[in-house]
Amino acid sequence: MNEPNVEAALRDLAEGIDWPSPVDFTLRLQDEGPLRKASRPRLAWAVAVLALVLVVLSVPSARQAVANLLDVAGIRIEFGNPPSLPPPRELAPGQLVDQAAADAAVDFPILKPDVLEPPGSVYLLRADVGTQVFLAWAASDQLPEVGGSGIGLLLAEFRADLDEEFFTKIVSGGTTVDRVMVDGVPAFWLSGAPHVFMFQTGPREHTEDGTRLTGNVLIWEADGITYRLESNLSLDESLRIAGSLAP
Amino acid sequence: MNLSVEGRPLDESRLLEQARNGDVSAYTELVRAHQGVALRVAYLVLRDAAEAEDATQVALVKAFRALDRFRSGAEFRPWLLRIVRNEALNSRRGADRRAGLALRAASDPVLGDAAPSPETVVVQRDERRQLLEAVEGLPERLRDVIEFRYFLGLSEAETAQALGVAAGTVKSRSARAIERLRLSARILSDE
Repeated sequence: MNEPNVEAALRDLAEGIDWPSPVDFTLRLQDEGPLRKASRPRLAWAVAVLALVLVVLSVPSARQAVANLLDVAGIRIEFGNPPSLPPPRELAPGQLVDQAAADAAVDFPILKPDVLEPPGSVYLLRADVGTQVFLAWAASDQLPEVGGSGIGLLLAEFRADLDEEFFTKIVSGGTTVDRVMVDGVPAFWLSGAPHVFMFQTGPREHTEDGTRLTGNVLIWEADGITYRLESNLSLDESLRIAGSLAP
Repeated sequence: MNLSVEGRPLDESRLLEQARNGDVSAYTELVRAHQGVALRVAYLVLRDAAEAEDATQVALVKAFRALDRFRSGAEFRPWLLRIVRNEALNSRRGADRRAGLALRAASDPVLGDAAPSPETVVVQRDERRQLLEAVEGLPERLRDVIEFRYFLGLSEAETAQALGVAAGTVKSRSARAIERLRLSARILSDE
């Protein structure tokens, strides 16, 4: 190609690509009626949420907190007393893999803190709504153990889904949530009492997140990826680690 | 296929409002305006026509269910395309190797009214194939931007929304990608 106008050549190239044949989805949507069916679960979901709110409102300490509802992409944070708090247990975040397997399993660059040594373990957790990567550092003098797990710091990375709330996090009355910033983007800092993570594996299906620790959690989203950093470190220390993430 | 937004109904905001209230007909009108580019978004991720169709259809249903979370005054098309892309990404097996994009057999450009010579056609076809290969060889973050900006014809702002990145990021990635492609073209022309 001679000294090219690459942009013009790219536009020209677009129509030369062997795209799939056009599909009239409007006919499918009308004929098969998935949209009409879709409105029913929405109502059911609303009823379920209302029921949860009523339960939570029955707990006096949660009344004020339930008025607040914060959303990070892929994570929903609700205030209220969890129905039951599972006992602490060993960390089991999916399948233990090496870094190369983790890199190949997700379509985003896995970021690691520059201020820490490489993680001791890498885990993959595959769910219907996407694959999560967990980087785990063993407890040490610098990284106090969290919840008898042997883990000092756990960093989760996953692609947030606009449509499905990837997690529901039920926060007990003793947990505080502060708005903070990580590299200029809004983040939430959850500290205090234990809390429960729930996976959303379908429109109305949730399973308990086996990665639950009981540490402090920093949650933020950047470039469509949600990051969750859990440890027993202070907010300042957590922000320093979060701010050092790099490919 | 015309993927421009010129044919988009002027009363899109009214259709959106009706759709948010559960009006299926209004939503299908919105889908009609954007289904072509939606399918191509899924195809760019999955590189398989049947899988792209499935992902697009699932995404269109999910988008309908998520309309109550659509921000009034926002652009509908990039919002919808982000959902389609996420659905396609979620249905893609992470470790799978993607098939490359192919050019249609009858896609040779026609320059002016005069029919190009057979030699010219061969050279142009080769240049287009090389450019497509160069795009395919870009890192994914740069390739995404090129695909959305030039293959799908989205604006910088729409691309930013659809990819979930800042507008400045789209601009800088686009500039880096164009520079790489220009360099590739120079190297090839020197060979």
